Order: sequence, then C-alpha cells, then structure tokens
Amino acid sequence: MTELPRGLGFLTALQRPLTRAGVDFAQFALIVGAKFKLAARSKSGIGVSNRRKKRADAPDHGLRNTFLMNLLIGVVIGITMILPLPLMTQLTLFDTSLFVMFFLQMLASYSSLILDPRDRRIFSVRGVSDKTLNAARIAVVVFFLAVTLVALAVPSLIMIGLQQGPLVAIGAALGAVMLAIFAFVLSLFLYLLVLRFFDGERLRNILNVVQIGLIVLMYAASQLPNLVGVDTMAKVNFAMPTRLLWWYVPAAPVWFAGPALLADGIFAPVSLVLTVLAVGVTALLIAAYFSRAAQFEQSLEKLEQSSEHNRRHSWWFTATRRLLTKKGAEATYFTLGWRMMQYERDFKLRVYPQLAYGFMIPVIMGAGFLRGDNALSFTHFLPYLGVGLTIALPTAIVNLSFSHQPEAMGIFRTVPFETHGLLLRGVIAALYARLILPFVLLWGIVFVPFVGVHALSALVLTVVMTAMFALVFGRMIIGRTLPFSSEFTAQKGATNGMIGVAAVLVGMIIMMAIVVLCGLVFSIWLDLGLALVFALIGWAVWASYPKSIHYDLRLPG
Amino acid sequence: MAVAIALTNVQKSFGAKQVLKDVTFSIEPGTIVGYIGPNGAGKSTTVKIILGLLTQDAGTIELMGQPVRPDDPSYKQHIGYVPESADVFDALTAREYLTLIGQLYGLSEAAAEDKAVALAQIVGLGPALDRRITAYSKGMRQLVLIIASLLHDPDVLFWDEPLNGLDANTVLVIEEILVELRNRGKTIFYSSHIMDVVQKLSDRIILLNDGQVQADGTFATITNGADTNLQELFNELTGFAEHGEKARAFVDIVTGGERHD
Repeated sequence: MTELPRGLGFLTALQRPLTRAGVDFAQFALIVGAKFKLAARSKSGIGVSNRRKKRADAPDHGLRNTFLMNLLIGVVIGITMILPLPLMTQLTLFDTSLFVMFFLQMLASYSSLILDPRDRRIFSVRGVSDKTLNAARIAVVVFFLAVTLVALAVPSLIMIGLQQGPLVAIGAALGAVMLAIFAFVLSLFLYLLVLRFFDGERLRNILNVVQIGLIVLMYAASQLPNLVGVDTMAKVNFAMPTRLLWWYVPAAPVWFAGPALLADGIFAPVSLVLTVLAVGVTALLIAAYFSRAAQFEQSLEKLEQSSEHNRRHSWWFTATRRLLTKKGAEATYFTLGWRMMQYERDFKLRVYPQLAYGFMIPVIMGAGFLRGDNALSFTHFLPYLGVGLTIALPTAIVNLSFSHQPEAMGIFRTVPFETHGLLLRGVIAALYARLILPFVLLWGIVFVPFVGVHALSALVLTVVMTAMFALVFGRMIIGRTLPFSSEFTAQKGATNGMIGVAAVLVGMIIMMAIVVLCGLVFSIWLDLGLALVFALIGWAVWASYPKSIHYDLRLPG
Repeated sequence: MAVAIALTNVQKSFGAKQVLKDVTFSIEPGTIVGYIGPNGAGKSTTVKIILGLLTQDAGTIELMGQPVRPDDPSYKQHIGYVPESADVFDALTAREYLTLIGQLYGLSEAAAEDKAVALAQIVGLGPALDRRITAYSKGMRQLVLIIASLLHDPDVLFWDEPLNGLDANTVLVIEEILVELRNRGKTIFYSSHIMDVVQKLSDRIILLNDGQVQADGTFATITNGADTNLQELFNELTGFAEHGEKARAFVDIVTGGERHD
C-alpha cells in the first residue's frame, strides 16, 4: 500500500508521528508517489516541432540539471569562503547568500506547488483529509527544497570545514538546515495568513504583494548594516564583530551563524542569542503553521473564486501598445499578452519576486547615496537597475510559455494564423511595457532631479538595454514554443528556477562590466554610445522576428 | 431506512452574493435525482458543499443518515463523484490513475487495478489503458472519470454532466448503468443541461433557480400532469421565453443582418 518513491523510503520512519498527527499514511504515500511520477513527466507545449517533441516515456532531466546549476552557484558562494575573513563575517556571508538564493528558488519555482488548488478537487473529494493532503504536498516540496539546499550549501561547508575545522562546518550545516526550514515555514505561514483573511482576486493580488514583500524584506535585512551608518560595504562585509549588535536581531540570516559559533567554542551572548533566535523563531513558526495546516488546504479553494469586476484598459496600455507595436495583428497579440499576464495568477507568483529582485539592486547599490555620498555616483544606478531587470527578464520570458489553460492556445491551430513572429513580438512588447518600462521610468523620474542630464543619458541607455535584452531573450527562450501553450509542472518549474539562477550569473557578469566601464570612463557620450550599439542590435533582432519565427502547430504523430 | 442525502436550510454566500438560500431536500436510497437549473443557480456550489470542498454558512447536511462533519472525511467513502470538468492527472496512464484512485478509497493495489481493467474493458477503454490520459479524447476522459467514481462501490453518486463527449452508443450504455445502479439501491444525483435525458432517467427532479429550490418532485407532479416536456417546463420556471428572438438577433450579428428567405 505504501508506495513511497525511491529515495523517500525514509519517510516510513515518520509513519507513527504522522499518523498520530491525523495523517492517513497510506494515502500520504500514494499522493507523494503520484506527485513524483507526475513531476517526472512533463508535456511539450503547442508549437514545439514534432521532431523535437519528446517521446512520451522519455525521462526529463530538469531536476538533475537544476541540481547541477545550483551546485555551480554553491561553488561560487564557496569560493567567497576562501577569503581570509573572521568567522562571524564568513558565516554571515554564507548564510545571507544561502538565504537569498534559497528563497528565490522557492518562490520562483515551488510556490505554485504549494498553492495549487487543483489537488483538492482530485484528492479531497475521494476522502483524503486536509491534513493528509497538506502533509503530502509539503513532503514533495521539502524534497525539492532539500536537493536545492544540498547543492547550494555543500561547497561552502567544505570550505568552512577546511578553514575552521569540521566541528564548525557541522555547526554551519545545522544552521543552514535551520535557515532553510525557517525560510520555508515563514513563507507557508505568511501564505496561511493571507489565505485566511482575503478572498478572490484580492487574495491573488495580496499573495503577490506578500511574495514581493518577502524578497524586499530579505534584502533589507541582509543589507541593514549598509543602511544604518557604516561607511562602506567593504567595511561591513569584512569587519562584522563577534559580539552582539542590535541589528543582528532583525537581520534574520545572521541568526543562523549561532550554531557554528557555538561549535567553535564561543559561548558568548552573541552565539547564544543568535542560536536561541534561530531555533526559537523557527520552532514557533512551525508550531503556528502546523496547528492550522488543515485550514491552509480549505482556504486554497478561495483561489478558485472569480472576481466579477471588469478591468478597463489603462492609458499606459493604450499608449505603449500604440508606441511599441504596428497596428493590426501585432497590436492584437500585444493585447493578448497583456491580458494573460494580468490574469495568470501563477505568472505573477513566479515572475514578480524576480522583478522585485531586479528593482532592489539599485537600492542595494545606492546605499552609499542614501547616506549622502556623491550624487553623481547615483547615475550608475540606472544601469544597475537595467542589469537587475535584465536578470529578472529570462524568468519572466520563460513563464510566458505557461498558462493554467494551455489548451486555449489551440485556437491558433484553427484560425488563419500566419504572423507567428508578430505574435511573439507583440507578447514580448507587452511584457516590456507592463513589467520593465514602468520600473525604469520610475527610477528615472527619481534620479533626474538629483543628477540632471547625466541621469537622462543613463535613462536612455537603460531603456534601450532592457528592450534589447527582452527581444534577444524572447527570441532565444520562447522562439520555439507558442506562448501560453504549456502547463506548468514541477519539473518545468525546476528548469525555470535554473534559468533564473543562470540569469543571475549572466546579470552579475554584465553588472561587473558596466561598473568597471562606467567607473573608468564617466561620460554621457559613453552612455549614449552604448545605447546606440544596443539599439542597433535590438533593431536587428526586432526585424528578424517575422522572418525567423514559425511555430509548428501540427498535432503530434 | 435512512435517507441517502438530506440538506436542511443550507446557505452559502460569496462576499455579498448569496448563492444558496435555505436549500432543503432529502433523497431516499435507490433514486435517480435530476438536479437541474440555469448556470449560476447554485448547483455546483451545492455539490461542492456536500463533497466538503466548500463549507456552508448555515444549515446541516446528512449522508446515509450520518451528519457530514468537515473535520471527518470518512463519509466520502460513500460517495462517487464525476466532476463537470475533467480533473485528472493526465500525465498518468488511465491504469495508473484509476489504480491510484482505487487505492485512495482503500482498495488494495491489485484489487483496484483488476476492477479498473475489468470496467474499462466493458466500456471499450481496455486497449487504451496504458496510454497517458493526455492523449485521450474528451469521451475517453469522461469514461475514466465515470470508472473512477465507481471503483469503491459507493452508495451515492454525484454525476455532473456525465455524458459529456461520449458517443451515442456509449451514452446508451451509461444510461443503462445508471438505471441498473438505481435498481441495486444506489442513489444518483444527476446534474445536466440536457433536459430530455434528465426527464427520461430521473425518478425525481429538483430545479434550483437563483439559489432556491423552485420545483421538487416527479416529472408528473411538477408538471401537474400537463402535456409538456422538461425543457418547456424549465424555460417556464426560469422565466425564459425569448429563445427564438435571441437566436435571430444572434444570427443577425453573425451575418450582418442578411436573410435569405
């Protein structure tokens, strides 16, 4: 009866406590088994050529690839551990990096697994209790998150072990596990609160706001030392004292340095308070969540409630559609893309946190300015914003492939549809107008009064650069699959997470190039020159869409 | 004998909108009930409440003589459900999916699979059992849902538009299955917009309109013996008489007002 997947057999050890907690273990095992089977079978979307469509029984290597990609990120974080840093600084660097990457992965790839109301319609009507369903769902997500954690943390733990000794590495590993549990349960608890108090469309919007808020909070907490008066980032990062400072308390990732400090033999207020916070707050959140886990499942039904109000076109929609698309088919596709992004809850859940991440980069980089440093240095932050949004772009574009009703795109099989490239261009334009351009212009409006004409040239550069990257990534990422024609699955989510992580790496490289370039040559003409180059590349890609993109809409077989 | 289903003064609102207003009825075992009403009348909400997918704001529900409690899903062992939308994991094969569902109801893996295979073969699904459901036609998916609802030999069936997508021959088989199940004491709660089928199969008809029970009884009692059919009665009770007018207006728009008499 208990058919746990290979690798999860150890869950049998939990049979007794789970049963005591009201979970039907036989049903639990069946659901976990089915979920893993489903995760291993993803479907091709409409538009993938028949030649490229996978055989039905072909294994999907998304999970393995994601693991390897996360391992690469883990190695990059591990390399920073080579720096000869004091233990407290090293641990904070490790825990903060881990927290950021882990949280991004969780929100971008797995939030839709956590918040999937379809399970209720299939399982609950067949006598599966809310507690059992919730436990099974959490077991599946925890498995994916555990794999992510191992990949991200192990290289750093090896470095810490080599430098500080095996005991400290074990302490740091314990801290890392607690940090992951804290991050996961924190998000579950916040979802629970939101589901409890809101309904329908408002609930969906609030969920998005909470996810974005979590990201912002995460950065604010980890960057708190920058914002509270320490002179430079370098000083902060390289001189964190091993004594209790007040801001260690709100900076949650710092708590998880506590166990490693204890393992190093530091029995001081700092290690004790941090460990108590790490263990205590995590335990409180776990207790608070699991006492209401069944309510979580019941509340998910609310995500299915529809809202009756009809949204009107905003002036921004009308203006950008006129500006960015040609009249006719392309404008129609712009409207389609805009509407889908507006109504697809999962799209918002997966993409908005990444956008918030991009939006926060100038804030992090701008901490010096916020403390009253040279205003001119502020002009760099627009390109920083561009880089941040460029990092967010691939995730947004990947998610243009998915819809919760992919079959609806089958309409393009029956209408006289010849303008394939224009469809993608219209949808990419809608994404740019809806999600990227407003951020850039908002920051531009903030900067120009401070800095003047130099900010204006930086603004032009940023507008052109993000547009160019939107076109390039759009062509590369969904040039072969009709937008909105695939169903999102855990496996595809993992691939999505991988692309997000890869994009962070690419963005970091671009950021370094821009920082170095603008640091060496501080000139309006450099901004405009770069803008011109990007504009030419962007124009060439824009013009290539109608000629080079053609979806294969034939049925398989 | 205990009633199969009893609803007493069940109410439900979504925000300011009251979807169910004191819905009350009870159904004896061995009855086919046609549960009909216009879209938005509250039919699906009623079924979702009985299935525990939604919680009522007020009122009580009993199933097979036992009160339905949201914290105890064991009563669902008595229920077989065919949803209107094909909620299945379509990346699984029908064999895998049906075995999973049977096991969720407490059957052993072998028993669930054997029963699923035997039922599938009778309705012509046997050769496709090892294909993923994603490759199934609408009618084949419907058969999967129907078999899934019967694997555990439930006492009460909630079938929402069960004939969706089925071919004419299979429709006859399913209609006969319903009658046979009724004859063996099962209660069938049958929801459909196809009025002639509802009229033909139902021992009793409950018409829900605007969240209230507007008619409840056998076809003969709700029509008072008048020479009419359920479609006409439905139109009358729901205040709808302008179908011809609407059709002409519709086609006028489609053709730009052109008529070829």
